[in-house]
Amino acid sequence: MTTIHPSIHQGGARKSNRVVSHFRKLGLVKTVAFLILLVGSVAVLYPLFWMLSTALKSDAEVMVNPSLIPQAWAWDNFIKAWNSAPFGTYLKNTVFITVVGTFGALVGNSLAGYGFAKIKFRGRELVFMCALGTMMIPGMVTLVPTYVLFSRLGWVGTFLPLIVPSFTAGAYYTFLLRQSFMSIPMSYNEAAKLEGANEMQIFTRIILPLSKPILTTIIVFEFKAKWNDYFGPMLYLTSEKQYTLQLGLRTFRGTAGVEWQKFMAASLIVMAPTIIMYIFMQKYILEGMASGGIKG
Amino acid sequence: MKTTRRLVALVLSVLMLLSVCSFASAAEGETITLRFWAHWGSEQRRPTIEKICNAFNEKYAEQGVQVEYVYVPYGDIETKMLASVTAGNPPAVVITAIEDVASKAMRNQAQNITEYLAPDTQSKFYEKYWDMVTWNGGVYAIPFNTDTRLLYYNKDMFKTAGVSVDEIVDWASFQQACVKLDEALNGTGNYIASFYPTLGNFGFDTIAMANGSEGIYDNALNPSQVNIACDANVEALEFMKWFADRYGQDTLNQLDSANAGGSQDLFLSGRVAIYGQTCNYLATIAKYNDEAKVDYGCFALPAGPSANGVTGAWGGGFVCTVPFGTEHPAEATLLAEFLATEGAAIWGAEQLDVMCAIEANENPVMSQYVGWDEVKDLMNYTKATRRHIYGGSADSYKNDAVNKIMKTFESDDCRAVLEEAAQKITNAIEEEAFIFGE
Repeated sequence: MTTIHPSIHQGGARKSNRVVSHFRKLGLVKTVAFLILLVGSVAVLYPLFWMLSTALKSDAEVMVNPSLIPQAWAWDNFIKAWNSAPFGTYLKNTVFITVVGTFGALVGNSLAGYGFAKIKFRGRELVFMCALGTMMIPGMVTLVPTYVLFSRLGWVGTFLPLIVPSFTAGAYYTFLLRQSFMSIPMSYNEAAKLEGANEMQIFTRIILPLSKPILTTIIVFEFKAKWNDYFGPMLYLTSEKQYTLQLGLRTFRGTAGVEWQKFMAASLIVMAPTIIMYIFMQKYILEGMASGGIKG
Repeated sequence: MKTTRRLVALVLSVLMLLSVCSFASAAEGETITLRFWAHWGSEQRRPTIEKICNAFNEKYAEQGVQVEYVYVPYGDIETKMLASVTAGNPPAVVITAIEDVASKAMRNQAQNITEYLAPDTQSKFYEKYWDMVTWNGGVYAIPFNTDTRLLYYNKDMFKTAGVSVDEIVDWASFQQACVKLDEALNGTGNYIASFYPTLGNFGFDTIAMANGSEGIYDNALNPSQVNIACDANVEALEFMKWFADRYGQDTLNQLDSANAGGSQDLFLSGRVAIYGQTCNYLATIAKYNDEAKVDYGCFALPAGPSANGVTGAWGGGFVCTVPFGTEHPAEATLLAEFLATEGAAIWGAEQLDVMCAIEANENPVMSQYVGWDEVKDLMNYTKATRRHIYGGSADSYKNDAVNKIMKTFESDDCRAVLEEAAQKITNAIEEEAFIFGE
């Protein structure tokens, strides 16, 4: 018969006591919430692990090794994927469209949001409701008429259809900005007017500096939308010299199948900027969503 | 005021930037540049299509006709073409699905190119594929490539199970072979199942055609009446159901999971012993078999009970379509013809593809591949299908019916699901014909 040394008993008991007291301190509800979030995180992150695993498998291994751990770590897949199409050109085009489009969205939507929030004019609510109503129209319904319009303007085959609409106010961002601007007391505007400021000065010097979180949210949303836009560039660009990263990713997919290892390697490179941006700006995004959606 | 001026200056700068990035096409002078859209953008495909375009540019340089190739992602090329035709600025040639030519012609999306064709063009193509590009007596595209579907088998697994391909002469003996394979191989290695009809690129159409069926309609090439619930099709679905009953939901889930959305190959990874795929799968095996080292062979699915001993398979493919309203239809037709003949010879040799031009298939490179003889033989029995001009949604109703038996296990009455599909397809055709005023 084996005997267990008393110190082992004591050590084990101390450890379990520590765990119990830790959970007590944390509270049962928080512990359960933590566990649920942990499971959720694993579920959300699993596809990323799978992407990385596939990106690191060799050509010969990718179709036959289902394990998450590659047999031979093919780091050169990232270089091969990048060099398999003119991704440098695609990156340049994507950055241009994203930066100009995001800037346009900021200018156009903040001006419209300011108008709806701070300037009183006849029919303001009706116009705002009509603007919100456009959110109900599915994009596919307006696809062909929009294409015909841009074609008549001679814009098909240029970046203009992908950039110019950003400068016009969209319903969703205008709504978010209006709600946020409305939470800033009107007394600020009135005081500035007494000091002789005009509307543009109030907008640029008082309202915008007080609205950094919502503006950051718009930057992140629009950056993501423009960076990941596939359909717009696919439809309006007619030369491969103008193609974007999202169109470039499709070169790995064809009738005969998908080159998974390169597709995943290139996808990881392409998605990196949006993830990095989110990590650095998540604090502002949450604040922005709160100020735009709840207050006002 | 300073801020206002700054803002105005900023907006003007952006607008100037935008105007710089506007690449309006410059005057072309005397050279006609034809825009050519296709979905071949991968490292494997692109060099070949660029080689073909370079050959065209070299040949027609003196005549002042040049081609500019633009890759358009697979699956969206039809949408882009439709938008460009509607806007009146389509390219010269677009690679589109072979079964849709009539549908495009009827909707004024494809150009009637009959008057621009050289007198001997038709004689360069297999008759059945030429038929696919004609509608109401006019020619609306030129056939490029096609394919067929056959079964790939693992020779080592067959040997272990004591199964010989020669013994597989009809559907019953095929099923017996599958039972033997399961008995011998279950629990060994990665093995999951002998064969599942909906995996790979096989499915209902090929099995139905191996049983003498014409597919969804009364005639594969000239679809008129919906005939999806015919006896041959019911037998085909019952043959498929035998596998669904044998393996059940759990095994199917296991196979689906192992397939991982197509990123894993069930055949090369040893999970199935028999795999239905297109003839182009020969090239996939050639690319990935270094690791898997599968000793493989090919055979056609034997003829079904209603086929009178003659098997069949479904073949898809692509055509060179000249979109309606293109700026230079005569030159566009010249390009389409070049792509489908001289270009097809280059494509067939480099991509191991079955071409619609007769001479393009006289190819010593392809003959070296294991399975190529079987492919060539099966091409004689392969049926191409023309989509009904009002039957755009027919395939989805057919797939729903098959999935109820093979995937979701919602029904076990093959005739009932096919009759339901027949009714839905008939209704859809009537509704669309009504929209077009018929």
